[in-house]
Amino acid sequence: MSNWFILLPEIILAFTIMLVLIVDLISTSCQRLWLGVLSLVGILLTVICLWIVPSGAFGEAFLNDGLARFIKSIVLLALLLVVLFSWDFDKVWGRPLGEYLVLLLSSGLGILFLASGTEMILLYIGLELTTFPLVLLTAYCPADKKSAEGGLKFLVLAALGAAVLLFGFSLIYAAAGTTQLQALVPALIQTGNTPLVLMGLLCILAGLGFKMALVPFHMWVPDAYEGAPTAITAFLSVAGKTAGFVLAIRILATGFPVQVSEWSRIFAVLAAVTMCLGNFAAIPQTNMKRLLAYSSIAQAGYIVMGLVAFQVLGLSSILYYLTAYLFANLAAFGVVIAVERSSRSVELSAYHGLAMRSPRLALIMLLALLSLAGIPPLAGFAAKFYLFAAVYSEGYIWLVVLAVLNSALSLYYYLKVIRAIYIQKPAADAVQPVTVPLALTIVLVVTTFGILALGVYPSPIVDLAREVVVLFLTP
Amino acid sequence: MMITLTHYLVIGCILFAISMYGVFTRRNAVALLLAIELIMLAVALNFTAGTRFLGDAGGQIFAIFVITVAAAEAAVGLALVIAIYRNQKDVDLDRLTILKG
Repeated sequence: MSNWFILLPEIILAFTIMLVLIVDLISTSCQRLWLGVLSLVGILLTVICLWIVPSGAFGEAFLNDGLARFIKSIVLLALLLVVLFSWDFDKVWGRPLGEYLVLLLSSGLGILFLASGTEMILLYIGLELTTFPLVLLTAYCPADKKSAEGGLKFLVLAALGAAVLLFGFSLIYAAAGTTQLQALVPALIQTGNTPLVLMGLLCILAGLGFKMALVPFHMWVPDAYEGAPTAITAFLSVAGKTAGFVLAIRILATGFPVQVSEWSRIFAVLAAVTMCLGNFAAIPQTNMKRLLAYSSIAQAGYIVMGLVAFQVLGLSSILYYLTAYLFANLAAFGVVIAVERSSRSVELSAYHGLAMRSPRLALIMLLALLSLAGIPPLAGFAAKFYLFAAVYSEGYIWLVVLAVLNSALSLYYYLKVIRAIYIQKPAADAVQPVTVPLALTIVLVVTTFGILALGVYPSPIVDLAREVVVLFLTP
Repeated sequence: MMITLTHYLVIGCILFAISMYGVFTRRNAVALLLAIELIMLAVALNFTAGTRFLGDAGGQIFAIFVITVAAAEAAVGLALVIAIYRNQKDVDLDRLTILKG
């Protein structure tokens, strides 16, 4: 009856986690290399399995469809690159690598369940499985005051967001009498939009706002991003955001398609506020991690426009945008990690004259930031183009105008970084080229290739995203 | 008087309102965690009442999961509070301001 085979990717990842934990326990400190290799092999096996197992449902709670597969591929790719980011984490940060990898992979496993969940309980457990390891990873270096403080602030607001989301679930359950998202639709049509349903929906939207880091629920983002070890910041910004959006798509598209006019209007306002505030707050930042944190808030503001234009075009451009954002953001964070290793600083002043010291790193940062700003012919341009076109075709012209103005505004602070890299002179004591270890080089090459390839030749991913979304919207 | 689902939901909403008041007025990390636990209790109450009146077992199962996760959350939260207290001798979020801007 139940088809265990559909759960195979998750089972493999779960076994990898346990295996890493055991190997960490029995290995001596000189065998640390195996932990990383084991994690990489586990993730690769999961990816392969993901594309082998058939589409279908496991019980009523777990659905492996094209959308889940697309999101899971993004998350596993992010996981793979972040494991490479943290290749010698124990040496650089002086903290054990084994538990670090276990927590990182557990968080990834949580997102895999989120991407497939069609039932409130599974979505909630997946969400908490994603969040708690990320909180612990943010606070992974408690001797560093920033890390512990960022972790605590992250925990309090993430727990608050999850609790509000849960309260919304409980009200909807009281109205509809089911925790199954598909079964909600007929039940809610029968009850109509009673105050109970609307209040539940409002709580769910607020909870989702926390997870997607929309203004005014974004307060945790800059602190968590700055406090976390940089590799974790990269994972938070890419996979954490992807998790928030897939959760929103699952809940709203499967459970509340009837109330679309209510929530899309709320999201339109949140999108406008989020991108404006994110971009304005990013301008005065001099800490690169904080700057990228506010930049990621602004990016969330753009992406949420895809939920406003809740059609095939809107949803598929969210998927494409998330892919482009993955490459651009991980490339930027890769350079931040490389610079941080050599200068022990994430301040903008550490980037002065980077072009003279390490021209290749400087070029990668240039491409990543221009892609985030949406300059052709890079990935970010195609992503923004499809997204804005989708919103325009839904008639939200004011939102598109605002988004274009915001993109221009964002160019200002991205160019501030580029100016520091290309025009300003390096400090007298920082003239050595930045050394980049092999694992980091691999990430930088992959992400740069992604930025260029997706920008020049976007159609394979765009077609895949559209195909997936068409299947998702017409069950 | 018949006790209906609405009565339970009203109590759930009152608990939610009290904990929201706590979240916005308290700045001590432990008090904040307490307030968030209170939301979880309101949620558990709503789900259990829903099961009682709607005849769907899903709500009670959900309530058990909520209680379990709330325990895990308290464990993570208190561990972090202790780590910070050792470092800074303070757990007031308004006075933890290394990160801001």
